[in-house]
Amino acid sequence: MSFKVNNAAEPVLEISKLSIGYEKKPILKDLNLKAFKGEILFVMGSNGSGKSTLLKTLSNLIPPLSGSVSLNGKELKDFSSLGFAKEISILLTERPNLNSMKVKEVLALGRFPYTSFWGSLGSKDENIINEVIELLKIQNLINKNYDTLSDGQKQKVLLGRTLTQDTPLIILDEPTSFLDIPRKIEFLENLKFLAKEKNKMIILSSHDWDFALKASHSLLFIGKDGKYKKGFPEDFYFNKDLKEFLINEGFNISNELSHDSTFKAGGLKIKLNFEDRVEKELTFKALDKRATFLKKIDNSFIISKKKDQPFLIQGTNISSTKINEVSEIIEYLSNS
Amino acid sequence: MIKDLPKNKFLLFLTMILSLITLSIFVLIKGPIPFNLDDPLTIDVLKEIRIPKVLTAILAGASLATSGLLMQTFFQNPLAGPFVLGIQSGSSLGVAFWVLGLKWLPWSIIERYPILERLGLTFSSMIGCLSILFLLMFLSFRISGKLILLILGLVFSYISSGLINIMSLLSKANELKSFFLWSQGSFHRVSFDDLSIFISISMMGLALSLLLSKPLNILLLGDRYAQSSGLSIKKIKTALIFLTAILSGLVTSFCGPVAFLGVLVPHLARKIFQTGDHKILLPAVMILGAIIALLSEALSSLTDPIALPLNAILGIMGFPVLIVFLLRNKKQQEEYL
Repeated sequence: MSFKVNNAAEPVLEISKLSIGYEKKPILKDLNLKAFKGEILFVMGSNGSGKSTLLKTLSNLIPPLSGSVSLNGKELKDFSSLGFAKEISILLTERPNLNSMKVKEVLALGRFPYTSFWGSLGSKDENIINEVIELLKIQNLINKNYDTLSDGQKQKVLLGRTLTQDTPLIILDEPTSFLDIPRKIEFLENLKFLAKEKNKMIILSSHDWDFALKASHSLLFIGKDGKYKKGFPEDFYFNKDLKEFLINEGFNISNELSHDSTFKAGGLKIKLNFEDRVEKELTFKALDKRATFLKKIDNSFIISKKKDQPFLIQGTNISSTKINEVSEIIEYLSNS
Repeated sequence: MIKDLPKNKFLLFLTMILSLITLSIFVLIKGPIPFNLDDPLTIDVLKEIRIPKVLTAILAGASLATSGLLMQTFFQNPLAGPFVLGIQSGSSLGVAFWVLGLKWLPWSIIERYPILERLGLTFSSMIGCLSILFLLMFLSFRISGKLILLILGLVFSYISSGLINIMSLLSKANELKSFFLWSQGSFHRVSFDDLSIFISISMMGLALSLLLSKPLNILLLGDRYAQSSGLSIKKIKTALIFLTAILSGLVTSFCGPVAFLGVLVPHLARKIFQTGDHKILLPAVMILGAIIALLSEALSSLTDPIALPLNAILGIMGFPVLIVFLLRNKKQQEEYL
C-alpha cells in the first residue's frame, strides 16, 4: 500500500509475487501487497474471484502456487503450527456442528495455542475471554448451548473464538454475511476498536461496498479476469472507470452528510473546499479514519477540489500541490 | 483436572460411580447358582464366571462408548459409532477370516497355545476395523453430507456380511457354530485366563484416549479451524483411527458385534452433563458405557432361565432412546442432514 503508518513502521504482512489457486490453476497472479499494524484491509470481488482462496492462502490452509507471504519478515511456511496460531487467527464461512458445546467452552477453544496439555485455563486466559465477552456483549449467551443459537449469534460466538486467540493479525472470511443492519453497525464498531485501540491488523472479505467504505483503510479489489486493483476505498470512487460500477454495487454515501468543512485530524487542522458534496464526504471520511496515522504536529491545510479535477493541497508556508488520489493526500500529510 | 470440575458435575460423576458399583454387585450376586460365600462352588463361579463377566462388561461398555465418541468427533457426525459406521462389521469380517477363512495356518500348533489363538482373533478383528476406518476416512474427504457417511457404513456392513456368508458356505459345522455364537454378542466369553489381555489392552486404549481431550475439543471446530489453532491434524487423526480400531476391535473380537452402545452413550453423556468438553465427556462416556453394558447384562440375567441375547436387549433399549434424542431437537435434526 502506498501509505505508511509512520516513517519508522515496517509492514507486518508482506505479499510479493503471489499466485494462488488450486492444483496449478491460478486464480490470481503476481499479487504484491503490504499491510500494517492497525490497518483494516478489505478484500472485495464477486463470487469465485478468489477472495476466499486468498484468505486461505494467507491463513496457511492452502499453499501458494508461487511467490511469498511473510509476517514480520518471516515466511509463513517457516512458522511452526503452534507459532503460527499465535500470529494469525481466522473466522471461516463454514459452520461447525459443536455437539452441545457451551458458548463459554467455544470461546475457550481460542486459547488452544496457549494452554497446557490438559487445556485448563489460567487467569490470563480467563481475562482475555472475559474481555471478548464484554466487547461482543454476549454475556447473556455464555451458558447457552452453541447449537441452539441463531445464525447471527453463532457468527458472533465464532468471531469471539477468533478474538480469544488474541493474534496480531486477524483474518475474517465474509464476517457480515449473517448479520442484520444493527448487528453490522455493531460489528463495524468492534472492528474499528480492534484496529485502533488494540493495534490489530484485520483482513476481511466482503461483498458490502458501503461497509467497506465505512470501515476499511485499504481495499483490494479482485476482478473476474484475475486482475486486481488496490488502494483506498475512497479512491475507487474518485476513479471514473470504477465509479459507475461501484454505484451499481451499492457504494452509496448519500445519507449522513453532516460535518463542518473545518475539522481536526491527528494534529492537523484541515479545511475542505469542495464542489461536490459526496466527494467532500469521502475525503473527510478518509482523513478521519486515518487520523492516527497523520502527523501529530500543529499545522493547517486547505484541501480543495473541483469536480473531475485533481485535489489541491495548500499548507501554511507551503505552496499548493496537485494530488490525484486520497492515498497520496494521506502520504503527503504524514510526511510533509 | 479434577479441581476444574464444577460441584454439580462432580456429584453426577459420584452418582454414576455408585450406580456402577451397585450394578456390579447385583450382577455378581444374581445368577442360576445361589450366592453363598461359604460355599466353595460360589467362589468358583465368582472367579471363573461372574467376576470376568462383570469386568468384561465394564471395560467393553467403556471402550465401545469411547470409540463412539472418538468417531463422532472425528467425522463431525453425531450419528457416528463403531456399529453404525460398519466398523464393527469390518471386525466381524476379520474374525470370520480368522475362524473360517485361514485354513492354511498351522492350526495344530496354534491350538496348543490358546493365547496365540486369542491374540490372532483380536488382531484380525483390529485389522478389520482399521481397514474400514481407513476406507471411511479416505471416502469422507470426497463426500459431503453426514447421511452419506452412514449409508457407506451400511454398505460396508452388507459387503462384509456377504463375504462372511460366502466363507460360511465353505466351512465346517463346528467352525460355523463357534462363529455364530460369537456373532450374537455376549460378555460371557472372556475366560479368567483371557482377562489379562482384555484388561491390559482396553485400559491402555482408554488411558490414551483420555490424553487426547484437548485436541479432540479443537477438532470439533473442523479441520481448518483446528489446523489454524496449531493442531497437527494428520497426527491426531491417525492416533484417533488407531485408538478406535484398538478399542472396538478388541471388544468385538472378545464379545461379538455389540450394537448401539457406541452411538448411544455419547448422546446420553452430553445430555446429562450438558457439555461438549471432552475433558468431562471422555470419563463420563466411559463410566456411562460401563453402566449401560452392566445394565443390559443385569436385564439379561433377570429373564432367567432363557438369558436374552445382549444385542436384543441393547437394540430394544437403545433404539427408542436414540430416536427420542434425534426427534427432540428439530434444529439439530436439520444439521444431521
